Amino acid sequence: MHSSAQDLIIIIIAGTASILFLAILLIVYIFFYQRRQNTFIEEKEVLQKKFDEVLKQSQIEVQENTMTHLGRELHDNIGQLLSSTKILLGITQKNLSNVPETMYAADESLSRAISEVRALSKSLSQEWLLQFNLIQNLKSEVGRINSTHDLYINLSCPTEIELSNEKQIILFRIIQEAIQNTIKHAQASNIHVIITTSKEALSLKIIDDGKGFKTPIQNSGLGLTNMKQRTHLLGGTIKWKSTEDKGCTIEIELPTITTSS
Amino acid sequence: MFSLKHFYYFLIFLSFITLFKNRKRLPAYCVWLMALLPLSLFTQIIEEVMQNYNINSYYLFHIYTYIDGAFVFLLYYNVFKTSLIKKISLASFCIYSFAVFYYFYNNKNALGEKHFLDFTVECFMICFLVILLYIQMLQVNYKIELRYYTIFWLNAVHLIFYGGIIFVMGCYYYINQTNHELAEKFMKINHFLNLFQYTGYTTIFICTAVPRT
Repeated sequence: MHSSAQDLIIIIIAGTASILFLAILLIVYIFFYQRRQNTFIEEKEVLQKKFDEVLKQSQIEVQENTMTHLGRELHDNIGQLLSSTKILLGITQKNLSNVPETMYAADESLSRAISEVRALSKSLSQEWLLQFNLIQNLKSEVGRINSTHDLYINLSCPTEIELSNEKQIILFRIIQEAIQNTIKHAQASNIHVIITTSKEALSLKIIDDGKGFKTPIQNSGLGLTNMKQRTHLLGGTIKWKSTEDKGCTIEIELPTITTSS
Repeated sequence: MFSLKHFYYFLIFLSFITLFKNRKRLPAYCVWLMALLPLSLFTQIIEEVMQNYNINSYYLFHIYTYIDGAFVFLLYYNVFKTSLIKKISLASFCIYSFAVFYYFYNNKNALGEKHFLDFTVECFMICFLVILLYIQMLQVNYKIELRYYTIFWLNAVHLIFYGGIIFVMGCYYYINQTNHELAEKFMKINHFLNLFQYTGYTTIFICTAVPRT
């Protein structure tokens, strides 16, 4: 009897101690495994983020190259064709004794088309963008669009923005995309582009008085996706604020601007 | 006179208060513990009162044990994510319920005895649920912030408490038959593990509550 009780005591003590030991061992193992797993996931996320940034950067580079190519094609081919047409029209005018009014109108339209193509090819050309700063580019773009009299763009910005050339191009493309979207879809009469800078951030607002839309945007198209991607590439945030029939406001906040090119 | 038992009651009360106070900053599944803790305190006080009046209170303990098992199962069931683990846990609870009801159906007198077979089976079931949760944790491929992962720490407490108590409670009946004094000495392991469990609960409810923003 005494021996069996002793055996039972040993079983209980040894069993309890073993289970507690195994339990603590398991808890410690899971704890450290999870910590290692977290470190691994963090590293993976960093790598993924870097990869995404490189991917976005290369997408933008491809787009820029395409735009430059398009700009060059516009200038070299269509621009040349329009110019030679204008010369031919001039020769025809000289040869005609009685030049009809419609021919003068056609000549004027052709001149406008040539200057439009030149301006457009300039704004698409990366070399052109690299030569000028963002503000100048914007003023030129705004001037080009205002000359069409379809809508009026009011630009409010500081005289200079400290921003690397690459970032200037990206920001310029975002504004271009926003303006193009407004022209295409919003049926707006006025657009206000407001840029303000502080020591820590650059704030950009694009406000239109168009028909607006419901937010949040359900199916954002390629244009909006591009704008988002470009803003994220600059390390900033982008927000669309809109209600139906009350226009739209795009708010972009970019962190501290660096001057390195 | 303030005894270890009173301190134990105080710890249950304290863990309930900390859980109640931090309930909005703790995961939703903690609601099962919020229901279980006052029930545990209430049952144990009633048991003590009944014992003081020499009324058999063991059947109350057996009923509470089953409710405890059910509530802890529900807590884990709400934490499990994959349907396979959910099904396995449900099956384990069904087996536990069947075993308990079968045992008491065939041993009706056992309801009034200081016999912890049902509690031992409950310990096995909860240890099994603990292992299932660890398996689930090992399978996830997202970041788990352990500092605020309440269930991980609850799991650790459950594994130590229910795992550590299996042998004592499983063998208590047999030791009690041969040596009552020794059996009561062994019950001290149960008391200390209970103190550990409720101290653990209190600490978890304080430390894993998401900070106010």
